[in-house]
Amino acid sequence: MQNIFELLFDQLDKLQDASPGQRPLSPHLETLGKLPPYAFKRILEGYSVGALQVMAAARGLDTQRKRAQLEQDLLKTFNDTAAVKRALERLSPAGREGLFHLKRMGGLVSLETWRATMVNRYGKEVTEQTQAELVGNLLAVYATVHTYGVEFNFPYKNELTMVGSYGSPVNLLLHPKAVGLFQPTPAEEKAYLQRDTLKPFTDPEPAPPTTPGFDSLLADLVGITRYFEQNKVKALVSGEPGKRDYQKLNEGLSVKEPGDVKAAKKMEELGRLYFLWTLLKETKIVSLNPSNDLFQVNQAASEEFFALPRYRQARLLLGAWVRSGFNEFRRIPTLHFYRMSYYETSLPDTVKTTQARFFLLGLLDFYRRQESLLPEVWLDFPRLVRAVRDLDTAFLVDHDNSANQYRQGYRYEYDYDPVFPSQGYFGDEYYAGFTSSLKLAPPKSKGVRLAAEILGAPLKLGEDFALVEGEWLAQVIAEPLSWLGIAELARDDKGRPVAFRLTDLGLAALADRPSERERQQTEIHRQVSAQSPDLTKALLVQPNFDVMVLAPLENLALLRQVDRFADQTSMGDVALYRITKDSVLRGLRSGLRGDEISTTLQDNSRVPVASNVLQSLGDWAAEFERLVLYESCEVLETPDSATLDRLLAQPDAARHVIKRLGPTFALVKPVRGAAGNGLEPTNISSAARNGGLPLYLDYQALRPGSVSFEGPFLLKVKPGAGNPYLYYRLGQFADLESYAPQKFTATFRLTAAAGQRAQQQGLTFESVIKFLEMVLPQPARRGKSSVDPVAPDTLLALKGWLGYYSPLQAEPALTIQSTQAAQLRDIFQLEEFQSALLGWAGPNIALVRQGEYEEVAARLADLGMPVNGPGETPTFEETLANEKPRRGKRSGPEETVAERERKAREKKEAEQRAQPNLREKLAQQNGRNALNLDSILDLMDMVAGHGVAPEELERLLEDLEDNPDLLWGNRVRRKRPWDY
Amino acid sequence: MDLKQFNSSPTLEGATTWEGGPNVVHRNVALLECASPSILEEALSATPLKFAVVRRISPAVVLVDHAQLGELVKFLTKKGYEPRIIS
Repeated sequence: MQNIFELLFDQLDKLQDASPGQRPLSPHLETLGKLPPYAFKRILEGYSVGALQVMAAARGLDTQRKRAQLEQDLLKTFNDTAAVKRALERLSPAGREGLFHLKRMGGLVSLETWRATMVNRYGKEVTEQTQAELVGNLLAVYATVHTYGVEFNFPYKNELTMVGSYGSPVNLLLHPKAVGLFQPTPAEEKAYLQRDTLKPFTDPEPAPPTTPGFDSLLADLVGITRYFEQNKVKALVSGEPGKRDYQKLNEGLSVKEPGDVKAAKKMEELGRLYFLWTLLKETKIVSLNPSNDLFQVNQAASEEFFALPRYRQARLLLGAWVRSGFNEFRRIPTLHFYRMSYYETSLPDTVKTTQARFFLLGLLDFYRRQESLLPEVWLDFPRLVRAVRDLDTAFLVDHDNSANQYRQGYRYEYDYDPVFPSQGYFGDEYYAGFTSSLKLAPPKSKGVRLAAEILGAPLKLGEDFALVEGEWLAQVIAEPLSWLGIAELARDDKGRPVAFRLTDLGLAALADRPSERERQQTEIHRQVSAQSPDLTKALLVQPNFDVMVLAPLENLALLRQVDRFADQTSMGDVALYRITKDSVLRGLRSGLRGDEISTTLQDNSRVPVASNVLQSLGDWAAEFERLVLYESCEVLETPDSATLDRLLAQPDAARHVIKRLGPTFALVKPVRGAAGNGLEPTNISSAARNGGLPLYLDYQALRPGSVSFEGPFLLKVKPGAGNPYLYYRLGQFADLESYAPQKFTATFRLTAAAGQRAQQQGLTFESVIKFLEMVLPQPARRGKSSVDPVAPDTLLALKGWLGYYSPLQAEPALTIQSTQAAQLRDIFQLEEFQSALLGWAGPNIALVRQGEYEEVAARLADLGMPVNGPGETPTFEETLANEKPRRGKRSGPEETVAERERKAREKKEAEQRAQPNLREKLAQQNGRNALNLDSILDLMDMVAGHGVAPEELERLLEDLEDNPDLLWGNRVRRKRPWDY
Repeated sequence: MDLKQFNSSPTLEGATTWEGGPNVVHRNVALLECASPSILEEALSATPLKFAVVRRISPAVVLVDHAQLGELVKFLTKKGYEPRIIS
């Protein structure tokens, strides 16, 4: 059986041996029994002398001693068994019942809860006396419970029943000796528990409710399981399926969610669908795969669940509901909820809800054992509410209205405001966080209607049990228990719950025994099976590949099997399926085998399965099973076939070997080393040392340092480190050069051909480098932050061979240079020159297509800008001869060569004279804040044109370096904000 | 099909892993077993399986690159050779 199933069953089994509402004994009882003397003293601290005298009298001690001596005497006899026995014998009937309830509630209970239970039975006066009796006889003591343990001096005491605390609630703690010594008789116990017996509902028989029952639930569970099986359902962060999935799930339900499902923001807001989902989650039939965040069906759990008898299925789901996060309280239609913090609200949390569900199931089981519950007999619902209140008022909501440190700490010291009760807090004696539409404040004669008149007045802890816990009980019976087919709730014309009953299945599930009806069905089935076995078979397989599942809900296990390899077309009294190639492949993918499918059909069909169906199934399965892929397995290789023959002939070979794959290979079951200690040899030296032990080669462990470079293009596998997978990876992008199998080593050469082969296989430069980084020696931890183990020329070659770099493009070109960048820009911005331009080698150098150079040069010459070809540097005379008068200059008579020479000389001299002004010019340029590209280029031109001596330029630069302000000329330096 | 044209691994086809050594257990390997050698040949020529063969250990059984399993299954399925996967 699945572990989770055992756990779910076990928790319900325990209920059968316990009283309703019985809790396990508190560990604090043991603390009380082992208290050291100084701590014992705190139990009696604060009591008046009168109270101590009463205690002393109850213990048969001298009451006329001083206070200190009285305390001493009481402490000495506190654990005296005889004294405890005597005290128990003297207890009144109310005292015995009070002690019984204290013991039933685990020996430690909130004083208010205990008092509420007693007041419901005996009234306030007797309760007061009983409290004094238990405390006076030292059968119970006052205590507060903290995270660090139990405390006895904080509840401030005075008289026997006068106790209080400004901190956590005051509890009543049972004397540990009384646990064993106090044993009420069965008659007493019955009377204490069944004070308000359930009574039949005497009004006319209520109309049977129309809620979907257990059959619908099973059908829907099958449908939901199928959905998770056939779809990839991803989990949200909350761990629930997303909106798209729950909308689709709802479409497949036999009973759809009422209202608009799209309006729900999360699955938790839904009713029955969320309930069904929590059941599948709790039973782990569907669980989350953390590796991919997808929900998956646990086939083993699913098969086991659907093969269980109905009463066991119902019991298991009951156990799952008890632990589930489904929240009935939030679904009570008469309650209006306020947003409050966890610490403030009375809304029960998951732990408290689970506890309350256990209590209810325990109570119903108790009534079943007392035969108060008969199948299909309607019982009075208000009586049930009263019985629950009498047994444990705080079974769902804490009724302790004493000062609460959590509430005190988290509340902003506000009092109940009748006009703006938006916080949901109404006072310590009220339920916090919700109001009920069943209790509205009386309307005012005029003026604005208050929230209390519309949403409900505050609910009092001491009075409104029926409106809160009672409504919860009604909600539980009307929804979860009804959906599970366990119980039904009848309502009157106003919609108020009036009666409830347990179904046949409900009683069977509680008793963990098949119901009478189920027993009869089993018996009939057995008899029919004995007479004509074929009649009990539930399948009809037709030659057209249609499959009918008869009585599907009685054959759920079979239904689930068919579900895995056939598509459901309809579901009713008969479930119709259709077998297709796709559906069969789906089943095969989920792990079914072809022969399993055929066997399921043949074993369960009333008529022989047509041969064409079996043939097609066989063909589809054979097609699917042509290739079998083992994702991760272990293969044994022997040096020769004779060795493998010998191994397979060993008597225990079948335990280790799955199958032989070839002459020297066999598929083996994974084992952790020969000695089972995981210390198997993983390299040749240790394998050689260990003699007969095999060598283990792990294909998923590529070790750094197993490969190294011997030169820029030769990769060498370290001796002893080679394995077929490493050779395969290297062989993808390198050529084998040498191989030494005895030494487990090989060398591979990186070549262009191997690179092309790698490209063909889809390998990239990045993937090869990533692999090399895994197997090459790691760089030292200290030192350079990134040491590249691959040489630059290797990297370049790999980039080229593996297609990282595209091929280069070459074209003959000529360069055209100018002294001014602007000149070339001006030229090539003209359309007629653009086609000749190949690119730029710099701002002053343009690359011109060789074929178009002549044309460009001629055109430029036309424009007055002749281009000197390679080796055609003009002489000075030629330059002067070609020089044209500048535009705007006077064009006078032709000058002689001598005149031109003279002018040129004068011009040069003038320029040389102007050289010292360069600094001023620079300052002027920068002074105008004209430091843009043009100005810099102009300056460069100017420097070049003037033929500035290198020394002069160097001096200028040094000056600039020493005095950067020179760059800004005589500009006034702007004040920066921090200069002020 | 000659797999040597796609990979230069010395152990790609048949060579013993450790000549003269003891038995060897290859751990964490992905293994593809075909119903017949012809199906393997067919799959090798029709799909990129040929690039993923780490070692051919018998006419119908090959060890395949475990790092490429996802892609390999996709290609095989696309070409009509959907394998039965055993985890």
